[in-house]
Amino acid sequence: MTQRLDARIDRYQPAVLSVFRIFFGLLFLFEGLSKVFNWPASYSIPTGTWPVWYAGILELILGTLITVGLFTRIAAFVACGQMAVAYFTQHFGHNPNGAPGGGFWPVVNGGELAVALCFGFLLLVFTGGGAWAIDAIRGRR
Amino acid sequence: MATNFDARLASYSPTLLSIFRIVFGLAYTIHGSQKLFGWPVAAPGPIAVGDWPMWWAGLIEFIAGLLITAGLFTRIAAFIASGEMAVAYLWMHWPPLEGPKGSFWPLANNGEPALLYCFGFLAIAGLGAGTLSVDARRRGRISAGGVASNRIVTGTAAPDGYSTRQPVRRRGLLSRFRRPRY
Repeated sequence: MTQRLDARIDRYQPAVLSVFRIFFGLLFLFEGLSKVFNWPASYSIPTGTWPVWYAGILELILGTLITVGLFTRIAAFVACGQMAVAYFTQHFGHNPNGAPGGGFWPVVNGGELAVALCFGFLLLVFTGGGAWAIDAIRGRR
Repeated sequence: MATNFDARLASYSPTLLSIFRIVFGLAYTIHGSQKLFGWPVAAPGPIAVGDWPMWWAGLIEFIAGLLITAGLFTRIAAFIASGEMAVAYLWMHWPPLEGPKGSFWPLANNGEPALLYCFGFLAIAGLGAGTLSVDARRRGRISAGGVASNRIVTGTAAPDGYSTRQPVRRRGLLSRFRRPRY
């Protein structure tokens, strides 16, 4: 039974991959928008603040590329690296709750999002953008 | 050049899929064990055994998280986990279901991790468990040349060393993780 289920679902892999890519890309794009343009959430970061404002610019560009699926692998690779840096410089070791040993755990140090995005983009580096991506249209030509 | 590069990267994608699955599964398991056992760090609020909905959410997270991490019944577990996270977002973070209204935007209502898990697990449910998983082992080991042991391949399609059981010369350090191409 499981094997037939697998075989049936496997056919939709390129579509699933694209849904996943668009979603992670959009979230990344919104992170950038909030940092640079204070929308949809207002992070109120003064223009030119190092490193957060520049991170916002990077997220804006990479988020757009990943969402539309243009140069997906390269954009995802840079985004993955950015999230790894973000985790280790901004989250790892921080302990807002004061729980013992809390700084190590992503659940406490607020770095869960960064870890999830980092590994999500790492997956996209290797799988590419899937069925609904500009990369796929360009490749077909 | 780009196509060649794409093909080389894509040949590692089943392994990367497994790494992605293990990281998401572990993080999810930690959320569950935090709610059930207060380990590795206590949950933000006290949760008694049997509390609705938090303790039950923890139970789902712990069991589904372990299954996803190990890669056993991956698709079913990931589908359930994805559904739980969708409910969590619609109920706890941006409630159109019930409770005090929050912002629609995940960036303002703390629902971002819930949404990322929701779509991450949806992807795992759709893409499968990848090479490093119990599911892949159960389906029969892939022997040298990339042929499952219960599969019979003859003629020119048979890879080097398949019939003779001769060791196959590997191509590159990570070739065992690459999808065979023939």
